[in-house]
Amino acid sequence: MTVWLRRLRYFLRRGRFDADLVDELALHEELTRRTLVDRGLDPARAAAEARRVLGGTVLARERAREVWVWPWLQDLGTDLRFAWRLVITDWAFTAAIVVVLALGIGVAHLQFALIRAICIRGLPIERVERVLFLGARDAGQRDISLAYQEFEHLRPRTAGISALAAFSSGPGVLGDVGLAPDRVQITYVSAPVFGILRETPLLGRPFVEADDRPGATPVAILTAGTWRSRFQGDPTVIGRRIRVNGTPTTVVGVMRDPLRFPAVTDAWLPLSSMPGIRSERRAARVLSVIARLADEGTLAATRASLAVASADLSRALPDHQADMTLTAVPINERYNGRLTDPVWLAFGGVAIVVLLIACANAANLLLTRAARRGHEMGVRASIGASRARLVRQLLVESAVLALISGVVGLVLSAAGLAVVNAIVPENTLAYWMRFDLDATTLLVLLAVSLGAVLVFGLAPAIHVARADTHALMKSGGRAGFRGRGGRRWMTVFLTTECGLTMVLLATLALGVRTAADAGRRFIAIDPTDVLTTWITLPADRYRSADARRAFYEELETRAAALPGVSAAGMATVLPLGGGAPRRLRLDGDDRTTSSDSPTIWTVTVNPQYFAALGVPLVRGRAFQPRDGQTGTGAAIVNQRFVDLFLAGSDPLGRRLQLVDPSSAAPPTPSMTIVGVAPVIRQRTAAADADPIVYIPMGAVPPVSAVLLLRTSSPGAALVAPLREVVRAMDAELPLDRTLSMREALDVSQWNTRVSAVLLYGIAGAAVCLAALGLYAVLSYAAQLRAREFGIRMALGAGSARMVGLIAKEAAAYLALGSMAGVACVYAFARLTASNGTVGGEPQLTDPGTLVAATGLLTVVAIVASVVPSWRATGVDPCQALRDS
Amino acid sequence: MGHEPFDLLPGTLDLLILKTLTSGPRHGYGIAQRLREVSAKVLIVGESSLYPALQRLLLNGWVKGAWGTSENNRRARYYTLTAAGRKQLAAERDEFERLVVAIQAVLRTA
Repeated sequence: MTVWLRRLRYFLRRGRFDADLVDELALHEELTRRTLVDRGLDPARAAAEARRVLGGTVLARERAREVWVWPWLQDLGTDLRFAWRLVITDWAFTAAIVVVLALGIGVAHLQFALIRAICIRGLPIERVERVLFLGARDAGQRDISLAYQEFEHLRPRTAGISALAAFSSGPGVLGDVGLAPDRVQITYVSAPVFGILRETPLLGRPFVEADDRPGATPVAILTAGTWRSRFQGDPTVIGRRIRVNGTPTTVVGVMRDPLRFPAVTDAWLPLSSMPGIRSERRAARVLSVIARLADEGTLAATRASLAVASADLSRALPDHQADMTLTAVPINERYNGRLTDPVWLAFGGVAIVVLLIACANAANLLLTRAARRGHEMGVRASIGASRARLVRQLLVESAVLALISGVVGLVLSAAGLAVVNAIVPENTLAYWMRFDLDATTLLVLLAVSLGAVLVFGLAPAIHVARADTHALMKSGGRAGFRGRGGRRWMTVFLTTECGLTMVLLATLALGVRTAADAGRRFIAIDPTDVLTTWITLPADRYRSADARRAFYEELETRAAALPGVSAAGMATVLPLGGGAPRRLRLDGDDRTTSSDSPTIWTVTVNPQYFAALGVPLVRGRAFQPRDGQTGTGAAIVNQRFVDLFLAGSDPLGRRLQLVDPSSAAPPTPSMTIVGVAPVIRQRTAAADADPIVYIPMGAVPPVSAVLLLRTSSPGAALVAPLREVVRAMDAELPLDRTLSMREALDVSQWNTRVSAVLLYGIAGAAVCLAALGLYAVLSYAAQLRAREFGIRMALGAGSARMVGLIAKEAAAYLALGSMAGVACVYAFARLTASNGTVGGEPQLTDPGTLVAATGLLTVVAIVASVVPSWRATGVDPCQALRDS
Repeated sequence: MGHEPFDLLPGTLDLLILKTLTSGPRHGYGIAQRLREVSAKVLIVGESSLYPALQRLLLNGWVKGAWGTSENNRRARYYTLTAAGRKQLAAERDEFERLVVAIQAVLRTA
């Protein structure tokens, strides 16, 4: 270590060291000479003798310096200086190669940062591998949550763990004297949860068992974020009484940033205070369970005990879902995206392909430069530079380029992450899922940049190493680099690249067309002049369905009466906001009575919902206020439902029942279809439409609903009067996420928009790469044929002819590339084709898409051949002939 | 001065320099002179071996250099043995003596 420090000190003060050494050696020589003179030698001879006997001082200095600095390190300095000079003087080349590599590195790095956040990093828990997630699987091996009784059952039967905690999240309202109420995300947790997570409070105390008993004093723990935003970080908040869902509750603790377990919680309450946990919702599957393995515990032992507990379950709980098994997995396995999922494999695959394309392009560009520098290399080799030395110099040059590209790539990737983060709405991603750059991603970037050197820098370096010095000098440097093998390889590579680029271009063209189309396919909704806002009814005052039903009816009446409001719709979700999956039982349809009955999606809506969306029903009528009340089961289905299940028959009057797959509850009462709605997308706009059943709000008044007001003017002016209306009905109800319909749709479509950004970004990068790749190959060709061009020009060929020669070459690549491209697009379309597509959507293989992609590729080829053409016409015949 | 400088066993130059410095600080020329005298002109060390060796000892921290004035009033670097150098000397000396005994044993018997 100290030796290393001394080396460093030497390096920092190497000028001084060298001067000292020179002094020392001069003194040595002087003293030697004097000794010789003292022995009676003639002074002049003594001086000569002193020099001769003692050998060259230069050698001594050199060898003394080598003691301190490894010689290769010194040469490395020279190589670096030389490489840097080349970066500056050959700036156009530097720019081309940096663009190529930075795009490759940037795209790959961005993808890595995203994959790492989603699939790798996981929860920030101490010794996270010892924390387990306990759940259950149904007969179809789907993950399901646990009911409270099941949790009670497994709690004493799970072996090898030190603690176990159940949790469940839901919306709630945080109210306080003198503060407007906030809609928040509340997680009900068993007391040991913070111990399992190994988290200690910033202020106050964690939950204790006594908090989680029925009848205990209501207590709450806040997240640091809630504490700061709602209580201005006031430390006296501990012990303060606030209102949670209307219940006076004492704040006992504040947790540290960034904990918001399990995802985006604002406050934690004890599990026992969860509404209905021990009564009507005993059977509802709402609980997730985590546990920490005891020191001597193993996952295998825990799993074995759960297998036993599963077998016991059906005996212990009579009304229990029979075919279910309890499972345990390390928590990150459950919370992380699975790297082996096709979507992530594809995502990572694209990153690697783009990076490889970039490296191959960089290799091609370097080859063109090597062709130009053949003479220089020949000279160096002939005056004694070893091959290893030349190869090393080229690799150092490549490494310098790679590092510059790495920095630019980092900027690109950071910009990409900023765009992605700007699109993702607040409170959407779990607290531990951050799309950012940290030390690990930077290390990966460095490794990728330097690793890329081996991929793209090695080929040109090896070419040089193989080159014959004599031939290099004779041919002006081209002999070593010509050869059919190299060019054939380039052609194969370029054709493949054009093919892949075509797939990306076709996907891009398809994306644009679908986006344009989606607008039209959305006709169902008219999103202009619709104001949306969310209302959540706290459980204490709205425990009963009647109370909620009465509230919504009153709200509908009052909101519809606001000036400028033409319809006041309400629903459990907005269009594109998803839906609740249910199994369908359709009277008189055998398919739907089997155990594997089809899944449909439900949306609960009020009578004015379709009017508020501006959508006329296809058939039948909208809901009426009395629909859904006891004995008047009514339902509206969408056109897709009719196409799938009732094609060719009259849907009106048919009766259906729905089964909740996530609960042991019996099927809903029978409902009669009273209307047919057009297709309004509830999941994504891109996928096939889903069959949807609309349920009247009166039947199951939800805890949380979105209000949609169709207005005759922009809705912003209505926000204040609407707030007044709600306050008049209940002073403690907040309006949440008050947005125009258009904004709300944008926010809900964030993941589609993120994938669009990534798709367009990658496609854009691929187009640049293809252009530069083509450019490199065409310049290389022009370089190799400079002599031929010179002769042609000397014989009187004009500029147009030169451009024609390059264009011919470009056209050949373009033809090959487009053919490969069309083939690739067909193959890709076959690979990604989904079954049961409804006709009419734009397809990858549509002539329109293919023509657009080929057109783009042609533009790319033209752009790429501009510079080489210009260079070809600029060939000076005399120079070209003399050079060869 | 006709004869060639004596070929030293590898590593022994360091040992000899360290030993020379046990009698007090010396500059480079002084070390060379001392070696020459003590060895009855057998060991003549050229500067292209001596100075790299001194640098190696400096690098390893076995000697320290300090600037002073030479007998002819010139700036000269005087080398002093450090504690680490003393330890090294002892170790190398033991090692060397074992080697010499071994070589002599081979020469006597084999």
